[in-house]
Amino acid sequence: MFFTSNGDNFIVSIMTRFTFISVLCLALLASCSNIVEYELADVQPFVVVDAIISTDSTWVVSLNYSRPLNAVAPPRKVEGAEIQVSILIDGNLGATEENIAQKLKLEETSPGYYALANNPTEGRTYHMEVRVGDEVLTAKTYVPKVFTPQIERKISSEDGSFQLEVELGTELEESIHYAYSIVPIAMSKDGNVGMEDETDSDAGDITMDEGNLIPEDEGIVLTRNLDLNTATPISGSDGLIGTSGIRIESTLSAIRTSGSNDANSDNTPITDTNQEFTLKIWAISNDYYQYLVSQNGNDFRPSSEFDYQNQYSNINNGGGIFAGYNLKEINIEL
Amino acid sequence: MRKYLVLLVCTFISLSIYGQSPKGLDNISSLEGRVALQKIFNALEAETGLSLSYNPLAFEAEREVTIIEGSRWRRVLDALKAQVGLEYQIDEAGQKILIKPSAHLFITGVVKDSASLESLPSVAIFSNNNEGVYTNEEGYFRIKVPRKDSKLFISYLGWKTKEVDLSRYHKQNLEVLLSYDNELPVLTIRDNEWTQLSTIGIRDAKERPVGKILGINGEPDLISQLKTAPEVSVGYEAQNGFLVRGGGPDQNLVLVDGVPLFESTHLGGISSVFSDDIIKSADLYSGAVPSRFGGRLSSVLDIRLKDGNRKEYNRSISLGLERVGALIEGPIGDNTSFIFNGRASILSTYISPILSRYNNLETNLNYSDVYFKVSHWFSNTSRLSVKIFNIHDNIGIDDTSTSGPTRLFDSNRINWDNRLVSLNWSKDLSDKIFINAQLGSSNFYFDSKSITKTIVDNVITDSLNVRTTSCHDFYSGQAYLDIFTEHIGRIKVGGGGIQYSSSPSVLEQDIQEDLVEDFCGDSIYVTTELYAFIEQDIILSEYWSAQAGVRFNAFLGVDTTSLHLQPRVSLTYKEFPHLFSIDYSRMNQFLHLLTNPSSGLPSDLWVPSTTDIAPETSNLFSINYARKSKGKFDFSIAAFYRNYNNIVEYTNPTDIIQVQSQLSMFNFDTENVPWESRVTTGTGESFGLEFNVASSIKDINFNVAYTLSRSTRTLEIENELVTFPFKYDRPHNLSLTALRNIGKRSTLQLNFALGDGLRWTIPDQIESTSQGDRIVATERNNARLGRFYHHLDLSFTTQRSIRKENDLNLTFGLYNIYNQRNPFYGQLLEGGAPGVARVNEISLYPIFPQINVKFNW
Repeated sequence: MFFTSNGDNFIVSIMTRFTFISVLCLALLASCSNIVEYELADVQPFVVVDAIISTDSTWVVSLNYSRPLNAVAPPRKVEGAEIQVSILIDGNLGATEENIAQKLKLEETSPGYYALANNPTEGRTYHMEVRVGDEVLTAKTYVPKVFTPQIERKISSEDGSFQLEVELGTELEESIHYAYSIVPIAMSKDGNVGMEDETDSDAGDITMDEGNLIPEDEGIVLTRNLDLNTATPISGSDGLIGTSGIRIESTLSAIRTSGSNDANSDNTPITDTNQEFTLKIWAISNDYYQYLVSQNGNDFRPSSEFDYQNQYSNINNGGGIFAGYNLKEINIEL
Repeated sequence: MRKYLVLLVCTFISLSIYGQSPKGLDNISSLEGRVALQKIFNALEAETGLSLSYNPLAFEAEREVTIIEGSRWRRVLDALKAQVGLEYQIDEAGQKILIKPSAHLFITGVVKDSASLESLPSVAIFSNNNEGVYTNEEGYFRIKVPRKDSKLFISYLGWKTKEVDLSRYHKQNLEVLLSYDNELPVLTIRDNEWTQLSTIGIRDAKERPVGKILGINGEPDLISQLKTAPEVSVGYEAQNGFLVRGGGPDQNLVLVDGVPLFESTHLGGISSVFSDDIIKSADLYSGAVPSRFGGRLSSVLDIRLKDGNRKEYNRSISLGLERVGALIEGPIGDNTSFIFNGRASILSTYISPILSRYNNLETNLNYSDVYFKVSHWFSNTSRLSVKIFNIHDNIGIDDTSTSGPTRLFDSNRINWDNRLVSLNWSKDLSDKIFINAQLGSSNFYFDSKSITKTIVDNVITDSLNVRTTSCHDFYSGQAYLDIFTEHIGRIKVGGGGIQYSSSPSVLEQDIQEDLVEDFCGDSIYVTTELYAFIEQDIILSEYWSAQAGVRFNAFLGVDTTSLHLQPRVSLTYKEFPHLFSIDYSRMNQFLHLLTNPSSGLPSDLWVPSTTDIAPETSNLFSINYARKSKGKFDFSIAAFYRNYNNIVEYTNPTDIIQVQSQLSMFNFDTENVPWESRVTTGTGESFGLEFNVASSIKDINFNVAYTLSRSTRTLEIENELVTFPFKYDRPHNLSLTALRNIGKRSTLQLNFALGDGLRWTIPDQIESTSQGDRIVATERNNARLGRFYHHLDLSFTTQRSIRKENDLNLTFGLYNIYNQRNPFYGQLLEGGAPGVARVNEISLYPIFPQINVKFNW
């Protein structure tokens, strides 16, 4: 039917019109974004473990159930669970009678909270087993050794810059992430952070005392605001230790303007050389490091072309985290 | 494996026995040049000491035979057999020689295109006693035919079948010229011509007219054509490359005249990088892959490009809605030809201003490809050619949004270049042995940049730059012999070496500067792959045949060396109209493609095997049945199972940008974590059933391909083995193609593609700790992007003659006629009901007009 005596003209005419309409359609439809809603498959809630441990606090573990995406109801607590912790030797569960005897059971002090009155020991790997009905969750983590940083040299100048040389000691460990930050005393959380009283822990003792349980009515504070977002890694780019000391060069003004209502928040250099600061140095286990890394990337970023990052977990057969850390704080007068 | 090796040993023993003969035949003949038969017989008796018996009436005494100077008598007798069909037989005492006419002749020749004198590979040639062969890559063939009343039938899909009466031709070095069928070719998928051949095994090469299925841009497109076969997935939105039998896009080896190509499509699949005008032949091997191919797990697409017209100049220009193109080819003297083809996109020219004005997007969508080849023929069967093929793609989308004093800037740029250079040489060393040699290089560069900035009062307050780069220099050399034996079928034996120089990198910066420009060379891995292979077509009986081969690889990696044996075998039973075959292929892959595991923008990173990342391995088993009824109704079904070992995946199920959060956490200036620390290895498997039906009803030819399959991966993540669906897992895959011829010069084409959507990982749970609420996905690749991918295309093509030998081809149609918004990638959004995820799906190709005008003269 296209091939009449003037078939060529007919086709050219069709083509011309088609081209014009096509370009118009393409221009109008080229941007194609479409917001759709996915009804997610029903997933059995899993047990979430919250167990971040340090030598300066007692054992406290929280258990709850995960919730569907966008759920607004608070998480349901896991009650009646059995939690047992053991010390591992060289990464393996101790096989001797002596070590098996060191297994400790945490008691449920309030719905979903389980505690033990004694503190974890530095330099030890712990294995945790959580039984919720027929489900068994396991995890292990390492509690970094307590170290004793020493200020070797501090130099401050009138323009607000300063230099610090801090000796971290010889107890630094591989596979542990170290980071530091320095903040004015006025900005510290309670305004009353003082020099830690460094006490030697019982590094050679791998046993745990079955201390008194925390009384239920004392309440339990699980929030650990470690302020790591402002921290700087010590040594290698991955935060792993590679040196026995750090050299800090900075300006006080940069620190002070990071969010305080301090009088000197106008970016002018600090000339008050008697200002006190707190140097915080963290030693965190690899588990905790991975958890924090993924946690920071887990925020919704609707405008980004990259998706959220899945939350790291070292809990087998469950979610959450079982991780150890240590924090040292030193007050410095500049 | 043991049986297979025994078979190979027997083969070589047979070859050795075949070469034995009396000592007198090792004497050097005094004859040379064109010599009459009678003179040869006289000299034979005198110089070998053998007593000669023959019937003088059985041949012409004055007929001449060409003898090469210095040939031994055994070689002279071979020449008698090859040139005039005389066989010899020696008595048990080794003192008498009987010469008699053989019952069969061996015919050699080359098949060419009558219009351009291009040699034609994979042409089926069969005799009137049903012996059959295929031409090799250079169009060369050697076939056994009856001595009397013998004819050859030359058949090539889309070309006119030719009958050659051998009584009218000289029996050696035939030059068979085929003419292209002027009628628009019938759309035929999976036509192996096997029903007409009885002496060769079925191959997995799907011989079909190349480029008759239109791509998104309306041009005839090879990759779109492949997607109509049941072995090949219909693809996903803006997907580069193609997917075969549950594998990834990187697992297909695309060879252009023997040199590997890294990206086979432009701009997210808008068209393949090969213009239809430059393709001579294309074979897809998805089952028993011949041993001469290796280096990928799933399939091999062997593409041969044209040498250029040897008879006359041919020119064409084409203009489409999104690109322009030009081709010129012709002879340079009597024995040399050239071809040049170039294409460049013009889409950005008019789309970018519109998008900038109405969508506040600054876009840059460009591609180009240039092909140039010069070939010289030293004889009818000896050719040397040099080829350059250069491909470039560039995608850039900048999005700026302003809210009060705050300005958000989001820039995404992807560009890749692939340059191929090769030198190919082929020659017949004798009428039984053909040599192919090739030197080549392939340089590939992929660069993906993403820059996000928050600018408040003209001060950058937040910035993140992410860049992945893949730089590869690839050098290869290969030579193999194509041996046409009389007793044990056709053998290919050869070897070669490939050297890769790879520089894959991932870089993140949060500094408020542009990313460094020259990034290649940051980390360089130099690895070498050496290989040798042998493959053979074996005729077992009237109905049974086999193809067997083995490839031996030595991989010299970074501080590691590994050896790999890859057997391939195909056993075929065929009795018209039934065909049944069983295939097995073991494949290795030494270069791996790391793709963005999320549904985000592509960030392809080709990485080599290293000490920690072992070469990938796959084993494919397939069973095939086909029934063919001379084009009326063809049906085939196949079942396949493939397992994978050492496959490489990013550890993080959702994003390659693990360090992104570290930037804010530890305030790094620059981070460049080695890619090896971001990946893990594991296993995988894929299996499925494939159905294909093709038929003709009046003027309508249609093909339906459906595949039911699954594909999974198993990785060790955090000390646990986790099995999850592969990103390209697609249980249902349907392709429907219908073509109606309208008159002699016009066709109406309809394509419909349907398949499950691309898998991606979507969070489905919230976990609450003292650190706050965080979202998690309970399973990797737990959702499908877009649920189903589908589109319907309709096009009309017509050819008009303006003057004699001047043609005008017109195509117009619509891709995705109902404007289905198939998502290219997705962004998770906040909000929504409990158990419901809100996703912003971005699609690339809405309803897309197809307009092409092409003028040949």
